[in-house]
Amino acid sequence: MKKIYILLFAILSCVCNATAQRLHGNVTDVQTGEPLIGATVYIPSLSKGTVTDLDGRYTLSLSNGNYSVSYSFMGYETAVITANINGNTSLNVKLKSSSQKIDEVVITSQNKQEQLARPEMGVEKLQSKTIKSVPVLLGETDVIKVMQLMPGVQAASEGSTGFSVRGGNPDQNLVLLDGSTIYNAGHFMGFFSVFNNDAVNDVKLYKGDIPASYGGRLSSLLEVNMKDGDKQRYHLNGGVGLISSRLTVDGPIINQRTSFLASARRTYFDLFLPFATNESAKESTIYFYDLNARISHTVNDNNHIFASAYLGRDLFEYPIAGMAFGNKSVSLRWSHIFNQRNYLNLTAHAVNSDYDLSMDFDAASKASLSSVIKDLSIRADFSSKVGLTHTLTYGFQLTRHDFQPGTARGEGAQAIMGKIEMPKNKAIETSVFIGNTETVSPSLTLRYGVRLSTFHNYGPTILYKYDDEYNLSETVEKGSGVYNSNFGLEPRFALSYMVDEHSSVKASYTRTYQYMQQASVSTSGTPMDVWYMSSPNVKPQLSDQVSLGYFHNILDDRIELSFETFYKAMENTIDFKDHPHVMLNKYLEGELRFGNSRSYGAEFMAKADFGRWNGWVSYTLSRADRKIVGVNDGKRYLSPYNHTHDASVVASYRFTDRISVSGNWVFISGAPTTFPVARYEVGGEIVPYYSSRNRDRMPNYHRLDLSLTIQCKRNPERRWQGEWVFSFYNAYNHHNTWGIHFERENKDNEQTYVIKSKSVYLFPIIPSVSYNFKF
Amino acid sequence: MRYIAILISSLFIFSSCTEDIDLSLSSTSPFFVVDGHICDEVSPYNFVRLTMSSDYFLNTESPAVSGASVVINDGEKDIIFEEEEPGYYMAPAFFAGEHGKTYSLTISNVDADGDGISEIYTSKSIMPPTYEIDSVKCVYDDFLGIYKIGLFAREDTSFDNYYMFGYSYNDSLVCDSYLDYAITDDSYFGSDYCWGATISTLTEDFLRSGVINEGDTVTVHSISINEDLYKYIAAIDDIHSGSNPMFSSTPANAVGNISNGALGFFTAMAVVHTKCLVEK
Repeated sequence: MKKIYILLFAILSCVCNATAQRLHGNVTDVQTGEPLIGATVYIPSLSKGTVTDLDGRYTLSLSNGNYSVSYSFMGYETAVITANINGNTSLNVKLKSSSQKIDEVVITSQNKQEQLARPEMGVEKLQSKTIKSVPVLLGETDVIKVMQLMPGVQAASEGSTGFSVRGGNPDQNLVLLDGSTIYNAGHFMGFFSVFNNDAVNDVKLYKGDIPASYGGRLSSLLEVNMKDGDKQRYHLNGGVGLISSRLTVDGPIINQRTSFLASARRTYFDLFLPFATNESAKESTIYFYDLNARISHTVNDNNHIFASAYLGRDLFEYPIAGMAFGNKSVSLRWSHIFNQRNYLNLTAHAVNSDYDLSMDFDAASKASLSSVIKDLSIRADFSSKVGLTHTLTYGFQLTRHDFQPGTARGEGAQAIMGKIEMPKNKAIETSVFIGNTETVSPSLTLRYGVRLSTFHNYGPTILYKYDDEYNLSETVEKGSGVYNSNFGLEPRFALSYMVDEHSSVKASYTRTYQYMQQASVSTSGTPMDVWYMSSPNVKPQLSDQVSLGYFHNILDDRIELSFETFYKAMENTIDFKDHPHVMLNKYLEGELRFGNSRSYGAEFMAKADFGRWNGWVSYTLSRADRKIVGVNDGKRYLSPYNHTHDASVVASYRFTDRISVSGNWVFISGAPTTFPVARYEVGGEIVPYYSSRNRDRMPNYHRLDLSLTIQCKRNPERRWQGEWVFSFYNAYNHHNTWGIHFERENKDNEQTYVIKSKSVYLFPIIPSVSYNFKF
Repeated sequence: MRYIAILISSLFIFSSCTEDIDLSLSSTSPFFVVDGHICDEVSPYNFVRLTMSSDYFLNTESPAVSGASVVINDGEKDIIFEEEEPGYYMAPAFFAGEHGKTYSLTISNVDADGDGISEIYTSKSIMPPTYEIDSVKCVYDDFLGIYKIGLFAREDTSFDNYYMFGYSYNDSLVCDSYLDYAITDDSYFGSDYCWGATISTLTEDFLRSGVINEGDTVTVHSISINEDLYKYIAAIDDIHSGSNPMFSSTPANAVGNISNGALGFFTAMAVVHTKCLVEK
């Protein structure tokens, strides 16, 4: 096998420039020894650069000579080092954290010109420190909430961590934590994300131009990477907020070689329940928690391993009913450097996502329900530099999905409910991919690749077939073995052309397939929405997206302007028939209707960084609609995630090294909705009559959040460092409509014929305070 | 089970507030509406009501359609329903439906679209069988602070059954519209006996008479209904709660069973009344 590998590279190497030399090494934090992921290595005289990989490594191909190389990373002081290249040269660089930048809103870590030249579009990167500075609901710092301030990204509904990217459904986002799929990324009915920011190193969202190494969802890829522990010193940091507390410990196990990080977060509003006046509240339990752990170990210069684990769960117990849901995931990675030009990441993942419901209203209705998703996965990512101008990435992924969409049973002898077991869904999903980034000329860079994905359902299971009217026509028992296969060839292409030093044009085309989706009938969904697979009845969803963008930096690159347009055409789009029956329904597939959908729009963003002042303004104009057979009389209608206008302004200002303020304002056009056009009376009820779907709009949404961060005076003798964060969510107390319902008026205990429309809003102005510390 | 999920979930919505909102809604040309039901007993509820739909915020009683001819055929003979109040067409005094019979409704002499030519609207419904109930119980639940009405009855799982439960309190009807009734099918049932499952709850707020006393009479009306009515009421229930992004699916029309584009429903239903006394 190794021979084949060497042979392959021998062939590939034939195309390279033999005089090329390599500058390589790693970039780490000087204090902690942690690798810095995505740090920029840039040679201004050549307008050439790269970024460090997941292990902080970089390689640049150069010809012999003297170069001034700049190493930069957000939140760190830039190091400029003169490198004398005469043959392959190794240069390991340690960067120093620039502590006064801690609370700046800086959204890019890359050298700004390098960013212009990179053939990568629709990508939003955030560092944990940036995320921390944006004011959020109840002071709970949240990666996803900050992502929602980016152009083309919107919350599925107010306060929700479910998000829609370029008009797509929330289940069309692939959410990865250290590479493991997170199926349910929300706590507390989705109001808080499962990502504890203290354990998060960096986050990257691909809004369409997804690299060939990933796929499986139509809209986006959200990569969240956990922090590595410090390999030299121990740290303790944490925070006390209104609804939760956090504590993170990290440090060396073996100095310089092995480190650990352990982080925990738990909400504590349930601690106040015993003081409640309501009897039933006293006997209730309600909380969620997250545990993150990561161990990384440097075996030698060429071999690194890490293991990371996540466990998060929501628990709610009320004497007559209970609910629990959560995710567990484990990732193991071995990174191996074959030589300066070739390396491999081999990763294994195990994922478990489940929920349980129970009810105990009386002996007859006592029942429980559970649903679970289990994934096992292995993937290999190879990277090879070929010559001066090619960087190849290639590999494969193999995943086994095992879904139990629901098992319910009556509990106790008097229970009326029988045992209901939904047929299991099992599948093998595979992909092989290869991509190449090619520097054609100093101004033109191409990135192209292809991904072959396959999806195989296998038994034993029970398969239901439906006739043209979606009625059950046949029940087939499938034995073990594959009974249905789907294949998808997914080309990816991107180019970047530097018009001049400060501006570039980029274009991209992406095809993606999606083989699994969530049965959410509502816009924001609930943790009880099950995932279901492509099958003989459900074809895989398919998306083709093209985008074109212009990027321009002004004022010495202190303001970065970007303008991107996109058009996305999707096939085999799924929606539900009217009044769908989704929960515990064996015949769920008979409730689905299929068609096509599209979304298109323009995104504008201006990012500014003037030292004390920084922030961004973003605006998106877009439309998303669908045409589904059997829904809305087969006529085109707006997607529930269609928001014509979406604007956000995020700004922060640092008064002194210790005091900074930040604020953000968002405006989003009201979501499409369906209001009645007439009423009629039947069975004593006033029944609404509807015409076309989603032709009305909810009121527009806008909100201002503010926060003030004060760092406590630091005693140079002590390591303890604290800061207070005061914030206001919805600072001008705008009652943003969350839902609208119609209420029939009662007079003297008699129902009248008067109906009033009512708006429900969730959050008035909400002040919060939290205290964070580092040790 | 879906309702349990919603119940639990709604407890999570910690700080929601409700206020009036002005909406301007579109309108559409009016539809002819049929609201007809017949039972297997002599009842003031054996009638067919004919109205027109109106703008959603009209906020008055729907306009009645008078002067129509309303006939129900039970497979053997025509039964004529006479208009007693505008829009209300009542069954003959001693009319009671019989189990298993198909009742066909024909409405004629109506010009709902106003084109000068009268239309004919039809529908039909089979009278379902009743089922036996052993007893009902109305007991106070200390924990919840409400009275629970429990049902003890044999359940025949060999075919699909659809049930509707309502009640009268001290002989005055409390449940007088579709959504006051609880509906269920037996698709999740595994046991052949129902041991006091709660079919409805009782609070003083809900009673027009006000106070609940021990020893008062509760009469449970257990109604056998057809699948199509079950789905119709479930659909009304579904859209009744309006739209919020977490729990509701897109509002859509409840599909009735009247021909010729009319809205509404005609149904035959079989009723059993079971009494019990309120226990503390």
